[in-house]
Amino acid sequence: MVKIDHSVVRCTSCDGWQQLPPVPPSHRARCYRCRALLQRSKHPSLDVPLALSLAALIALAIANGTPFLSLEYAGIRQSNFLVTGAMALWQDDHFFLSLLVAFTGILAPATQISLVCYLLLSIRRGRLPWKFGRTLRLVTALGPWSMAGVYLIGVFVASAKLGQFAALVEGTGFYAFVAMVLLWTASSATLDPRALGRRPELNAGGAP
Amino acid sequence: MNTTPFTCDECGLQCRTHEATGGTQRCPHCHARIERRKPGSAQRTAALLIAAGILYIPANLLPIFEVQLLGRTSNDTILEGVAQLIASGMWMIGAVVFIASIAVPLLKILGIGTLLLASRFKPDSTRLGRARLFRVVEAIGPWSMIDIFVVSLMVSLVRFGTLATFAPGPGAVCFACVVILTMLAVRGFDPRTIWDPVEEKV
Repeated sequence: MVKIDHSVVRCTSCDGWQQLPPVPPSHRARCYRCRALLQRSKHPSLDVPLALSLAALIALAIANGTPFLSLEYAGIRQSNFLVTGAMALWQDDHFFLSLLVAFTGILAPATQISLVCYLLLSIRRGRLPWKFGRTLRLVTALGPWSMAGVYLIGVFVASAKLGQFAALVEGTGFYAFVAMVLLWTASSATLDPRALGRRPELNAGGAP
Repeated sequence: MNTTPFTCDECGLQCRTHEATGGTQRCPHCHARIERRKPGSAQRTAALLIAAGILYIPANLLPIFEVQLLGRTSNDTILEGVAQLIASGMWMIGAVVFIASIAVPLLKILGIGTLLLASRFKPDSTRLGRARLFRVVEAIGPWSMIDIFVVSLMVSLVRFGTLATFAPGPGAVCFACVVILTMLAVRGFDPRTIWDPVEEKV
């Protein structure tokens, strides 16, 4: 077994090796050379990101299960769920756009949130999550494709465009979606996925 | 045994790799491929970038919406949509759409192009500036998806048979491809190549 010194790190953005002192709370460590973010101060407890992620998961379930937006035009009311956006495109044979919207707007954020909840829950109980490393890699790889926040801006633009000739009513699902985006943003800000493998909770269960 | 210290790009695990074992080495933790450099980074990024640059033209010239309102049909390109928003007094929303749909994709294409050309022809030009440019291009990536989401929302909300319907135009597919291709191009570019000549000289 080779002893590894965790205070010596390699910046993954520029390959520069450097000594990294412990990061004080609410500080960030940046690479001496390319100024890429190396490490955020680790939140002492996993409970904060876990609570936020679980709340985001609940908000996501509500956002998917309750009416999202409805539009009234000429006496007809058209009610919508979150998935209706992708489904309408599918029905009109725009398969590519439909899959893209479903993946980036719903599937990728949902997968990310559920996986982070699972990882945090099992680490908190001192258990090594199943396929830990690969799951973690999936969460980070989904990052750029998870566009719930962008979707929200899209809703504002669409309602501005439609507001000219029809009344748009936000449903429960819309507010749950806003809550989900905010909670997930807060959770990501308090969590450093790369530091998860070195959590003290895992030492009892035999960390990698 | 000849080993080199290594940090996995994906999960941050620090370990040592054996040199000259041949074949693909994988991180023992997350099973990501261990590569000192992304293979064929410059070629792959350049190919994706050229494809995005070509599609950027029809994405802006072809209609992104096909609207049928009370028997009248109108086709709108992205720029016409922005103009309509500004004309009806919503210049804030118009500015958001302009930045997200026209400026951001163009900035991404020009930014990655600059990074590729600088790595190839002027590797000594400001490295910190290029590293920062890469991070900006990486961060703005997803925001150009706004218009695709607007299209999906309009299509699903405006379904009133003969009164009013909404359909995505051919420009929408081109635009979605531009967004995906530029995001893949950013992922393909290896920011470590910006710093390579420094290490060679030392």
